[in-house]
Amino acid sequence: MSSASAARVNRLLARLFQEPELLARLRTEPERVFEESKLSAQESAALRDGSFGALERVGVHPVLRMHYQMAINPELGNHVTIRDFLPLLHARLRDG
Amino acid sequence: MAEIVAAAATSHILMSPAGADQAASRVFDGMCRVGQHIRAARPDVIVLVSNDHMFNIGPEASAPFFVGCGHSYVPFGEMDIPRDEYRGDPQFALGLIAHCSRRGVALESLANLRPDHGIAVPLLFVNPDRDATVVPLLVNHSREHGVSGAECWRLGELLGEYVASLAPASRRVALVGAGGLSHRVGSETMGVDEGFDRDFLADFERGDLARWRDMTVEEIERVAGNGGVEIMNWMIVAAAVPGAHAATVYYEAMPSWLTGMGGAVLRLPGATR
Repeated sequence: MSSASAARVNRLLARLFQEPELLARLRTEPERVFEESKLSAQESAALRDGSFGALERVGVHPVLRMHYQMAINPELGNHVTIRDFLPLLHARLRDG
Repeated sequence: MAEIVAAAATSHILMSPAGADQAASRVFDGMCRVGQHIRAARPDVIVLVSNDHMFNIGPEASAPFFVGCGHSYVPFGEMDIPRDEYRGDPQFALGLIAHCSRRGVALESLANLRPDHGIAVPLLFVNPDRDATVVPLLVNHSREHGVSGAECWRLGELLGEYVASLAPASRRVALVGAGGLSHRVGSETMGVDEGFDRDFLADFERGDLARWRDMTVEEIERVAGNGGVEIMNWMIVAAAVPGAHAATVYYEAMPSWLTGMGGAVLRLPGATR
């Protein structure tokens, strides 16, 4: 794996939460997104696998491994969220 | 000169309390108390020292530090964080960049920052009415080889020096370091190291941070995970207020959040609170 190639896959993953359309396409037609992004066969396989270990082996940055997990597992949003605390915070501030 | 009227440090994430309700409640209560400590000092400006999680600063960015120089900030909004607008403080931010530059420390400006949870979660607690201006100061822990403790410490010293150099005298400045404690991001061995966290908090309380400052990024990562380096965000604040004494406000090892959660307030020399 060349560093230029790792840069390519990292750039793709860094765009996922910047570009909602890209995120939607990754979820519905991932192979086309991999192809358009000119990923290597190893990188595409790692993204298909999706595990942290597979992503690490092709040079995906640790933070972007988290982005990718959030992207392909939208249900994680029910855990990685602050929404349970917002009403509590508002009540705490209101009551001084 | 302007005055640092309050300083604190806290973890910068919250997740679902499901399965850990009591511990999550104690974390929330601790964050509220950290927020109350800052708000009670009635700051005009809050410098929030944290790090971006690649929502703004990409994997190819090589600068060690970034400063938000915008007139306003709307959070990125991940994790259901409200997209409420905060006022920026470009004059303060640009002045800080110039001050550090003259002393050989380069800070890169960010004009269009959309703060992620690293900045936006602490702001919910320390600036809920959005009446203080905000200066986001971001450490680029994501760059290759990270940022050393010595670099962070020097930046903290310059931050304190800069505030002391500012006019007018009535400007009230609060400092908040945000991040940590131990956690591993994007790793198959994710987890918390409570021993590391408690050692760090004990030394933070004592103001005895030399060994942490001298640890390499790799040494911190080995014990506390690649997210553990966020303790440097705390150390920048500590370096800015020499002689302050910290008191731990909360600590919970939160396995379900994959993060050691902690917070502390710094009692400033001469302060009565």
